[in-house]
Amino acid sequence: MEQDAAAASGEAAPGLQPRRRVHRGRVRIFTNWCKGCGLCVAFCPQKVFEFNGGGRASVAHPDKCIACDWCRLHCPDLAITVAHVDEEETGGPA
Amino acid sequence: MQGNEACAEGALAAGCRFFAGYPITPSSEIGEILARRLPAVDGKFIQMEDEIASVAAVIGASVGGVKALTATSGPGFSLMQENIGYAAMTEIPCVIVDVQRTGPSTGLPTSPAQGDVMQARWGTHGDHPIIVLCPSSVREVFDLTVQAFNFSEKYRTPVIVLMDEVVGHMREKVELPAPEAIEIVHRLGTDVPPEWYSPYDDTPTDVPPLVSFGEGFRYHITGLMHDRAGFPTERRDEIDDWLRRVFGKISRHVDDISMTVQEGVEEANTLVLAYGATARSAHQAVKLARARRRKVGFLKLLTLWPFPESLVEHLADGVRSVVVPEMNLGQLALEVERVVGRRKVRRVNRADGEMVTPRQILEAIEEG
Amino acid sequence: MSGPRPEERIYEYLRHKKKFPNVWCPGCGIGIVMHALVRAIDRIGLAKDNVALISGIGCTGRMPVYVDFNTMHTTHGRALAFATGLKMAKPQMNVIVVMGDGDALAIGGNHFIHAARRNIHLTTIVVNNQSYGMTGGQHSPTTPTHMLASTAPYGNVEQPFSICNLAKAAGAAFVARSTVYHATELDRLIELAILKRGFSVVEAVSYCHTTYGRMNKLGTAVDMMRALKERSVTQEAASKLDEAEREDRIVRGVLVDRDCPEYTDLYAEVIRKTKAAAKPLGSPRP
Repeated sequence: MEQDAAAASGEAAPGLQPRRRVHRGRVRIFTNWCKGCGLCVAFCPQKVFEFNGGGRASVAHPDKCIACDWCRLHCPDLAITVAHVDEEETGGPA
Repeated sequence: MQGNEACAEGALAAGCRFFAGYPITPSSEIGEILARRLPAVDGKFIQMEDEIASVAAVIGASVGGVKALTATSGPGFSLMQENIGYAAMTEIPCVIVDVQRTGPSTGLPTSPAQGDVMQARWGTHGDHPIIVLCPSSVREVFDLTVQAFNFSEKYRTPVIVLMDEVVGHMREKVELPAPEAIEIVHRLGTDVPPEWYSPYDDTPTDVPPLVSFGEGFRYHITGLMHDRAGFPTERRDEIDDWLRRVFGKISRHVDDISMTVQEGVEEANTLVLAYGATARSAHQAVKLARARRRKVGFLKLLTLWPFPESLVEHLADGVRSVVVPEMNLGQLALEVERVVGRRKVRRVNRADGEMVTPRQILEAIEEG
Repeated sequence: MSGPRPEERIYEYLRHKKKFPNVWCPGCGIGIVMHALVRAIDRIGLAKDNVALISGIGCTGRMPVYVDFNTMHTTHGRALAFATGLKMAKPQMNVIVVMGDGDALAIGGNHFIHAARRNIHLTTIVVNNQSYGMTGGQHSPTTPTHMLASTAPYGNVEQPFSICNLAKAAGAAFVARSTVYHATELDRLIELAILKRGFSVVEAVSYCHTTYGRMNKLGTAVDMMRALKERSVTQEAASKLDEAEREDRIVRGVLVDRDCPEYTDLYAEVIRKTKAAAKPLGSPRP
């Protein structure tokens, strides 16, 4: 009972880190529309993108995406979509 | 009724419900009358900041499904040219009235002229077809303004009504046709679903169906050379198609578009070819000549452009001379000379703000 | 489950019969503005049939062809005049106008101030890259003094306009500014502008790295985008700067939001009164 109450209020139950909601994104690029301007590569806070061999952007590190949407909103070619995926993470033992 | 007033009434009778214009002598009455008349019939009037904006607003309103008119004189007509070309390129129906005054430039604001004939045909840059009508009496102003709207809708083209200061400001007793008797033409709509609609499609008449904005058909209009969907193109085959269709749209229908008044042309030795206010003097001259037993034919052009080449060629065949009086230094005469040969044409010209007199025309007739 | 995924819904607003990728240079801000416009329209929930997008000539003028609305690409500087006619014919339509700085303020300057003066309900987005991009980087009425341009090879001697000050002085009901770096602020301002009854102007500050930027050694699209971020401030932050510091900054936010009578409303009243009059001034002669 005590543990449930604590969990509901977000407080750490004794022995565990608090649960967190984390934003993740599933990034996709329409490579045919990408002109390789490099805005997403330069501005992504998580460095998810890299140039591929053909000079266009590619999703090099998809797991790092935090769904901040900068790339999607600033791609001049509307070539990027970001699906928002809410995930719960539970911390490890204290 | 005043000529300019007849223009306003003709527009209303044809279903015009939008006017955008800018004041200029000798056309201002048209706008003033419509400013009073339009709200009473759920129409709209706006005085725009200049003539360029006036034509733009007229085209915008027409795209929105409302028949639209503007009116001006020489200096304003010069300003309007770019957007008239836009209407020709995008095939948006609209009517532009030019009440000609003596030019060039500010010229003689209150004196007549016929100096904009070539400008009406070629004022805007690039190759484009156009329809130009020219009344010579108050009743004709009414009728030709109605006809201008009908042609613009039928052929998806800007139509210019070329008046002059005399016809615009004169007052004549007129009997106007009853509303039921007036034929009104609306733009051809479509019955295909939106996904199949192309704003510049090929049709048997060369005129694509036009659907107004906001009716469920979303399409693109651009002044760039475009394909049938309205998207810009640089492809030679698509451009050739466009040129063929858009020019054919007018040139293949000259018989429908060309309106003339002919008197005594069958057995004439001399043909007098006139238009606008000058046609009044010409008609008088022809009467005087006939009283002197001369065989003179009278050809009044109500449609200046497209120029009725075949008709003029045919009528000129049997005559010794073609007299072309104009209040300019020879503009329509260039067309006549091209079709008939320079040697047969007797020009009667003045560009000083005065009407060509019957006597001047009679002298040319008697020259032989 | 059929239909687009939520993150793909925005593509419903594009014309898929038109060729993509779009015609703009890699990294150009105009595509960002287009996306912001479409997001705003989607958020408000406007019906596509009831939206008209009208443009002038220039790189910005190429926008309407890509979007699935009633679209018109008109003559240089005259978009607002075309839009005025369309709005009067169809007052219920949402008429949005998009122009570049040269199109709107130079050749279009007269129509800009008069549309603002009339306070006619048009939403105007001016993409300001301080130059004429499409024709090779000539200077425009918003090019800062001393900057190089293809027609100012020794440095621009002219003073630039402020688009927002001009709109405000001419009578616009709503005037706002943002940059293509601040994409979410931009779409929010466009949303407000569309909803505002009257003449609204949103200045979207962008850049042209291809012509003007190259001449002035301003770097790549990434560099010029970064510069927008660094040079811009909110109104609140700007008020804390002294005048010399503020001169150089791009001030973002809603600058004007006032309630003034709107042109088509006023004219509708004219029609109502005329028709209701016992002996209408406009009745035909007997």
